[in-house]
Amino acid sequence: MAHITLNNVSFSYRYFPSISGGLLKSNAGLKSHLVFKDFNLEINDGDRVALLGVNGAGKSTLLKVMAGVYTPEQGTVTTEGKIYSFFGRSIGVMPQLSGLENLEIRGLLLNLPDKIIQEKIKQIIDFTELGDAIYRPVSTYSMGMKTRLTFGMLMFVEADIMLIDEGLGAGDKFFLEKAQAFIESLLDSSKILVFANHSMELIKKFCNKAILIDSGQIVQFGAIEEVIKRYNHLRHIEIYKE
Amino acid sequence: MSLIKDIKNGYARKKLWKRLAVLELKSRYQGAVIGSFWIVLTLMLKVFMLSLVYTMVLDRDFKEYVMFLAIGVLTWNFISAVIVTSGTVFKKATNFLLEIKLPHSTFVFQNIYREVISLIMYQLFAIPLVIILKGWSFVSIVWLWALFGYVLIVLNAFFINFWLGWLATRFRDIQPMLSSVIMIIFLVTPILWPPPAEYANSLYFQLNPFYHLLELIRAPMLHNQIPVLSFQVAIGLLVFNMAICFAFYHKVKNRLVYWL
Repeated sequence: MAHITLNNVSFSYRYFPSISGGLLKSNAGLKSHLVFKDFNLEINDGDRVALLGVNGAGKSTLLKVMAGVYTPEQGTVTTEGKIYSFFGRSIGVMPQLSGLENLEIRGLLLNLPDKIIQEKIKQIIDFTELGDAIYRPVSTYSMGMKTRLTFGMLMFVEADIMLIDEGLGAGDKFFLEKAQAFIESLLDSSKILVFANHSMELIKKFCNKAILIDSGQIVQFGAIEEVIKRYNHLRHIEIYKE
Repeated sequence: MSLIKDIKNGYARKKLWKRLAVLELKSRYQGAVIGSFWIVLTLMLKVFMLSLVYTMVLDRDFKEYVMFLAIGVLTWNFISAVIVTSGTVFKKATNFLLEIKLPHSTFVFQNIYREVISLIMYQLFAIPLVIILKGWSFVSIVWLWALFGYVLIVLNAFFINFWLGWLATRFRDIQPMLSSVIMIIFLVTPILWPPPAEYANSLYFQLNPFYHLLELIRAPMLHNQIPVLSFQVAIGLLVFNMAICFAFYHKVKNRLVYWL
């Protein structure tokens, strides 16, 4: 039984200020930016949740809080089940390494045994059809090839909870169909999906629920069609205001 | 999670950090014909060139000086590399740390392991050099103390890496400071020149912890002596570094990711 519960979570992230200003102007000190205040959320078995919201609404931060990367300063985050967080950051971590080495590191990062890593890598190479390019440094990859490798990295796991941030692009048309079929099969094996993506096509395909976030608050949480309607309405208002 | 648990869990990811460390070393020499052998070659060039000039400047016997320099420089290379890279140890791991919750020590292990590999490669040059110059009879059981000295240096490096890493991630002035301070320490510590006999016991040297760390290796290997005071200093330093890490771990453990 997988679930994620956020109870009265408050979180602000900290950052070093921008480097603008004169050469001799100090930019020391951490700034703090409040993202969530008294945030409550419960996601249960079988929920495939899309995170919707304008840029900067807090979608990525929410995913990081769920993944345990960020610890909230107040409130509690409880999760049950094996989590796989995929925020698309690892691809090109070391662009001078080959696709194969990037895959190996991914496997090690997930703490998988060698045997499984090798098996999975074989499957991934077949699936992504990268062929000999898998031995070339990732820095030489085209966008489409990087997308394929990113999808490949998703194949490593059978987790109960999958947290996926944007970064899953489309790739070429032919590959897209294959990737969709794969994600569907992946979703059968994992129990919860939390998915942040700007592609409505992907969201509608994979999710049954959605959360609309605005300025760190849940505007609506429910069945996907209704939330998307509300989201479009909200976006429309924003465009209209401009 | 306590620091001990962090270190235990970090050690358990040894396949990850070993792999990352080796790839990092290799990536520095990507495309180079002699590859990672550059690690040793740079040291050889440095020792040879410096020996040529400094035996003249200091009016020393070439054989004695070249050994003194080789052992000193390679040990210093390890110490300085650890200190300078501790400024970036967590920053470099940003992409990992922001995606998956990992023990901090994973990346400290990575950093130290990488430098220990370099250290071992340096020894492939230094030990044969000493044996060629002095013959097999020069090798003695006292050298084991040098090995123990390295163990102490590496342990110190591990904990220094932790707290300097945290400090440099939080306070961005530390990293640029480290690189310049380390240069000054290099010049004021007896690495290029042996301390003049009449000043060897002066506080100027005795209060310099780096001098003692170097003596841990040089005294047993070059003079067949066990540097008792230096061992005491090194153990004291270790206790100090560990104390800092234990004192600050619980304050830093959840915040590190915000500072990246």
